[in-house]
Amino acid sequence: MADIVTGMLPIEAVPDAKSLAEQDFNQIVRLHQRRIYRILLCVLKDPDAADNLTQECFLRAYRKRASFRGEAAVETWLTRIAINLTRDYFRSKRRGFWQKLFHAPDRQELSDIAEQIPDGKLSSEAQLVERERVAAIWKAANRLSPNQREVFLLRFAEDMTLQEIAATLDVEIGTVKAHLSRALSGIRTRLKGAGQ
Amino acid sequence: MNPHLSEFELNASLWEEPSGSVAGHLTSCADCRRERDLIAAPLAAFRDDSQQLAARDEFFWSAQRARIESQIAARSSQGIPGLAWSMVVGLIVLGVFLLKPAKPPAVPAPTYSQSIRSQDQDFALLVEVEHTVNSQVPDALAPATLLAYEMNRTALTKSK
Repeated sequence: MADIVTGMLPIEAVPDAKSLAEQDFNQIVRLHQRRIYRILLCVLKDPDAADNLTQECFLRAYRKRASFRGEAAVETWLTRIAINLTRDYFRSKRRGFWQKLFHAPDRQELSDIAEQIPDGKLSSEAQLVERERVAAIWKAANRLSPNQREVFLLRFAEDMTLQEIAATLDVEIGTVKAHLSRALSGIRTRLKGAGQ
Repeated sequence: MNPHLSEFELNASLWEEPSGSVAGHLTSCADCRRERDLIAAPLAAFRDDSQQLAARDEFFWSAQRARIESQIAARSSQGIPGLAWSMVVGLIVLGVFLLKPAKPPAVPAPTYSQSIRSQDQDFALLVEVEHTVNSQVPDALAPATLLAYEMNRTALTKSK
């Protein structure tokens, strides 16, 4: 059974890829909607846009379900569609103009949202330090290049393996490692800057 | 020789289990360990944070599924009228094509020889009509006229 909070699914819950066209599509939506929404939210930083693109992702998958030949896992296929949707989203000239103008979306920053989540495991001082560091990672991730941000979020927010990321983005594993290394170097630099 | 791990080795230790030599160095080198831990702990918290940020109650997911299903249904139903309209237009075009008044069969233009033959027949008929009109006796009595002509000529010859 799917974990309601994380949307993580056991392997046996993933529908047989070869019979996707015959699957009850509602079941596929039910199994993967949390994960797709989470990825889109991390990349877009906009809950409404993430919700809309989650719907669009499944609509696009539904239209193309007959062409799915099972060369990749269903979740990899869906993640690829979602990532392509985010690229289309950012490619929009109008949105790009406004983002450049204001440098950041006028929506509530995810790092700000993160600060609202209590964590009972740490002392208040340690919580504060950790929240600041997590917020610094979000901000640093927002300043990465699109490719670096995608790879970084898929690895460290979604906990995907390098092979899964390579399959999702249709790149070599070496390319994934290169993007990850540059992303981590950039984030480390900003963390050091934020800590001073 | 650089006694510390390279930046790539430090970064790689964050996305995969470090190899034996890298793991050994991290165990023995406090500087490299500090450098890695500077980002390792926040990254773990970052992952938990991203999972929590996307957590929604079941109502949210149900509503989202309902919207997806309704949009799929809407697009499916849009497909049927579209097909129906295509069929209607196709039938109209077919009907127009089928009901279009057929052209009268084209009469082939007479050839030159046919034309000459027709003119000869007309001329022969004209000659025959003219001959009939000019003759003093009907055609049916022509043999009798010839017989009378021969009898008269014989009688004139004997009288001489």
